[in-house]
Amino acid sequence: MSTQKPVVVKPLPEQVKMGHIQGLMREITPLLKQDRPRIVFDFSQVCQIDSAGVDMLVDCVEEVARRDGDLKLAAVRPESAIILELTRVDRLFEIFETVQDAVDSFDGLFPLPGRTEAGTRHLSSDAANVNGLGD
Amino acid sequence: MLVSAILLVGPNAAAGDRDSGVSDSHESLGGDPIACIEVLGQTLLQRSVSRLQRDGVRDIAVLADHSLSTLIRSQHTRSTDMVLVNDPMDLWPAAQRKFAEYVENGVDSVVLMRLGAFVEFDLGCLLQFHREQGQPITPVYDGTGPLDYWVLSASCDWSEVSTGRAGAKMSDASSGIRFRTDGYVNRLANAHDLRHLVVDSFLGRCEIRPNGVQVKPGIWVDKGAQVHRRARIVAPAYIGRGVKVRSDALITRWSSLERGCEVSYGTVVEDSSILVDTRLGTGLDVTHAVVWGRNLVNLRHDVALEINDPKLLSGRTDIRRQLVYPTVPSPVESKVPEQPDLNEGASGLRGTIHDAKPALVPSRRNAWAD
Repeated sequence: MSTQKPVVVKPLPEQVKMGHIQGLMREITPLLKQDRPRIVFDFSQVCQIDSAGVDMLVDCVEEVARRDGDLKLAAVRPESAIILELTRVDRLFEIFETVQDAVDSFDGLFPLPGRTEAGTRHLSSDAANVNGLGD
Repeated sequence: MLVSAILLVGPNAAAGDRDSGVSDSHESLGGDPIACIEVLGQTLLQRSVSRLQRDGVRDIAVLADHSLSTLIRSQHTRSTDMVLVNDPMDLWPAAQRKFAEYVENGVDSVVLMRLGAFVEFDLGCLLQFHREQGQPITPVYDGTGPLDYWVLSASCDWSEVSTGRAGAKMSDASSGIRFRTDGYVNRLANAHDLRHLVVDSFLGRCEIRPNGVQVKPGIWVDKGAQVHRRARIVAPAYIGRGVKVRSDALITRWSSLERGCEVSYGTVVEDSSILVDTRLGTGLDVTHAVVWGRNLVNLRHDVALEINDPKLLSGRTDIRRQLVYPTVPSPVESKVPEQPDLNEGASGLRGTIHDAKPALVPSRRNAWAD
């Protein structure tokens, strides 16, 4: 019987910069406050990220770690990857080429994607759970 | 034999086409010609002028369009004649006028150079080859194509050289007998080439040597550089004039910090060139990059970025603006331990300097010796 929580995929906007952070944090905070959150930040749309965005990522990973969860990054474009490398934040995260790879990485099983609310996809990485065979 | 030289600088100097014999390349970084960018303490323009003077060329004219006036003036020496043209398209006609002036003054040959590629050739051999061939124009080529260097005889009638959109074409030259150089050539087409030039200079593959004093094998430090005692410099590296390297910074693997740069607390610079007056923020990892002001070219990802965040990168103008309008430190900044002061008044290098590890640069130490 699996007790794994579903993986939450949060697509980030084009700009993760000062001025956009507050609104973004309002969306993200409820996800971080869950027990053992399992989150993937989808970077595929992110073109610009600055030090405020990097600070936000650090805050998020700290919060997730505090709750014994995990936060992974996926589909990071080169422009963002350079900033993450420059600020050494890349070493705080597991970074995957695709969102699916990131989701799969949580336990190595093949999940079925699903969308439960606007802007946020909840994907279970536990096949049994998705098929309704879990608890 | 009286020889003069005309040096054309700037992207507008390259306006060739398929038939012109002038390469259609625009060697620039952030709009500035690479020839005007300091590499290991001196611009390639200055190095080319010094080289010509060493080879006995008496009169040297540097021609550029007006947009480059600040850059060119900052490098102007009394021994060179600077000509600025208002309309970029006038660059080649201005070269023609200068050529005519030199011929009137009794010059036998004129070396015409469009400063795109960095080329080291034996001028004596080139002039001898030119005389022996008896042709009005001798173009210089390497294995891959034209280098936009020519020798023109005084007898050369420039007006007979067909004119094109750049003001002049070297079509006659390209069809003539070419002088093929086997000297060092770097086409400086992009940031990758700029980095190659720095590495080649450290390795002694070309004649360029870093300015300043070699304080340890492979480590050059220029005047007024300040390195914190807790910073580390690992050979080969170049610390330019007036550079400040703050505490716990690391400069390593063929990196060069050009004049007036500042590397903040804990930042690592590895296999990178930091160009004039650039400030790197706190705790960064600058690797495989060329950085100038807010611009960064990452050579591994092959991506150029403009980073408008003074906490990461800034040029001198940004630093001045910060002094007038101080910014509130971010939460991350406040977590960073207090930054110790530099050893003000340090006459040279105070930081820890490490020789190159043998595994990193085997048997290259002799190449770094003066």
